[in-house]
Amino acid sequence: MKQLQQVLYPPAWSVTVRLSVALLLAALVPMSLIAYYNNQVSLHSLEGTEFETKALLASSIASRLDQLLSDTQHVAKQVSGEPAVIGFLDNPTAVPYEAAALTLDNVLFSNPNYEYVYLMDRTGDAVMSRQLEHLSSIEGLHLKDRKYFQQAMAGGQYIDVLVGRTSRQLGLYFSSPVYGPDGDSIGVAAIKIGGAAVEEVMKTLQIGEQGIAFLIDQDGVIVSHPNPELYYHSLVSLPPKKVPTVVQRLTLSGGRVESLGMADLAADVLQATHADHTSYINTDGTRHIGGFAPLSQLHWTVVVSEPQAEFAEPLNNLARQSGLSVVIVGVVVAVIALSLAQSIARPVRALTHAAQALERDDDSFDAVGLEAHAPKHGDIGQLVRVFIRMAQEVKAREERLKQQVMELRIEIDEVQKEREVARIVDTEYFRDLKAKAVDARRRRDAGNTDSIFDALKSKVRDDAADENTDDSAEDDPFFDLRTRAENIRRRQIPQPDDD
Amino acid sequence: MAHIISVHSFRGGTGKSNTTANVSTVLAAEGLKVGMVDTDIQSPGIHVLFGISEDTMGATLNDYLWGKCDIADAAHDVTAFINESSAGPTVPPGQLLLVPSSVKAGEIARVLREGYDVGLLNDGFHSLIEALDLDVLMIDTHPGLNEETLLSIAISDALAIIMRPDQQDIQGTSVTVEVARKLDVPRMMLVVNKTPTVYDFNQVKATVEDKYACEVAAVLPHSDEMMMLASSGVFVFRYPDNTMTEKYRQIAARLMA
Repeated sequence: MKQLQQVLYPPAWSVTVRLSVALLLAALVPMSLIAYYNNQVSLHSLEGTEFETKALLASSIASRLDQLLSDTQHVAKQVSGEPAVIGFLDNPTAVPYEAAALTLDNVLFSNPNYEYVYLMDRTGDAVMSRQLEHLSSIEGLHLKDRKYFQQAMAGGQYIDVLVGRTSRQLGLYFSSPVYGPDGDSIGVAAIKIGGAAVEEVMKTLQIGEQGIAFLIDQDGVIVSHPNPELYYHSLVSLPPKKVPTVVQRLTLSGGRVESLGMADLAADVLQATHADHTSYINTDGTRHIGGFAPLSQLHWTVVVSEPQAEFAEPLNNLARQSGLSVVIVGVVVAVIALSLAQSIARPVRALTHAAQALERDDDSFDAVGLEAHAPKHGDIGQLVRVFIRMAQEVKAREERLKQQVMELRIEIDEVQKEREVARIVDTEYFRDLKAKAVDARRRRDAGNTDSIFDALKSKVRDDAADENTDDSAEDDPFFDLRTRAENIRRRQIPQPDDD
Repeated sequence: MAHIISVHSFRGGTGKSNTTANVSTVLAAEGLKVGMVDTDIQSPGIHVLFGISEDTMGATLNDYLWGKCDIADAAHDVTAFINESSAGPTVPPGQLLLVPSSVKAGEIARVLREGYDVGLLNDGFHSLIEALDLDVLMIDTHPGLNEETLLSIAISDALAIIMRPDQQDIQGTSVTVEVARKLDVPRMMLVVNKTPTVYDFNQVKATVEDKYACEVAAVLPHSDEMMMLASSGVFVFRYPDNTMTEKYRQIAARLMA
């Protein structure tokens, strides 16, 4: 418990630990903060870039489609202006069928996307049809109720989108009015391209590994999608009044349009006027991130998207790299911090041991060993060298002091001493005292205790005699003393009766 | 049956009273009942170490010598004072009693003028031992060699002569040792006190023992701590772990051997 408290109490840490922790913190805290901040900024920037990329991809596809549409429209207009075509429609007897047919054939074979190039007279009958080899001619069909015919006859170019009743294939019809010599509309020239041409454009760009690109028409109905099952499904339920039109245009069976329930995507994409990014739940339930771009030729929108997991992959990579770099730098800093801390702590420990050796004043003080711990340069090295010099100075001073120890000399003037002793010893008092002392001792030896002096002395002598026989406990100088005290208390003290 | 120990010195200021007080305290701590008599009537001092002042002194050795009281009435029990001044919780299991000399100027002057009956002093020691049932009687003597000093020496079982290692003491101590020897004191030893630390103490001990042909119980340094304590406490209780304390124990053991 106490050890734990010590571990948790920084002032109790060793210099090595404290320095290491301080250096580690000094290096890692700012670095981690900067790494975190950079990571966030990079993630944000990368996310923006990813969004932008998706929107650009969508724009790219949209402009290719636009290109296809406008090119075809342009060709349709050219066809309608060909003299052979005008002549044939104006007066079929004046211009031979073959001449006009040759013109249409030239157009038909100029582009592999063209399936049909054909002419309608002012009544809407297909009077000439040139088509790819595997397709059947539509000459003789009455097409006056087709919107593209009606629109062209009214004087405008038109692009119509219809789905084949049997083929279930998308068809794009480009119509252009043919004007007679007097400026009246005398018929319509039309080009049909198949949905395959659109599909081809949609597939030109690879959108990541799991990315998809699909096309939505003006009513929010999917007209191109990598998953054929989703064709002609609307993103959201259509308003009832729109349903018949759509059903008719797309020749849908059952008279209704299936909804995919992708309201979030519909909200972003429908009515879009410019390219942007979106996030929505796909039909498979996964969240998709993507971009979209509206076409300018048709009210269609290209949507490009990929699963969020794939979208986030580069972001996660970036975060992992940042984390890894923090760890690597952390390890490097830790190694540097530890070696630096050691380089400081080692001489400090050596100094402590040396100081303790000096304090004990034993021979374990080792200047050479201490010097080995001192760095060649810097404060610590200087401290160690100063300490060694100080220690050596102290030792030297101590040696000098030891050598200065004085010897006591005793000179006794023996003559004077004898004279002084004689002066005392030769007095009456001394002789008397000595006699008493001698007498007392003699009497004590004889067991007589008839003077105060002797009584006093004999008590002590008796004890001393007792003690002489008891020489136990030599180690304890007070042992016999205590024993004697007990003896004294136990014994009856003899009283001198003649004093 | 008490053991009588005299502590003597040729000159004053050698640390006689301090030695007496410390050795007595060591013995009391060992469980003995120890009595001290300050016979340095002309310049008494040991009472100060035990916190006795002129006001609290009461009956003194002077009163006994002039027949005003029994000597036992002049004995002060100072065991409690030792306990109070002790650094630790040590309680001497024995007892410490002191018969001080008067510090009143008039009474000191009267002793100097009239003297006193030395025989009475001898009787006093005896009475004190009997009355108080002492184990040890410590006599703190007057410096120099006069009648009462010689008496103290003559009746002692052990004599400690304190000397300082300086020239004035060396000659006088040699005379004292010689006189004591002529009185056949059973046990006599020297204590070299206030020894400057520049001396090699082993050399001091050997030299003194050689020159005086007398055992040296201890060589005590000139102690700063002792000086600080001056005359206001007993060293061995203030500094129970000091090397000086160990030396006092050594002296006490030699004197009682």
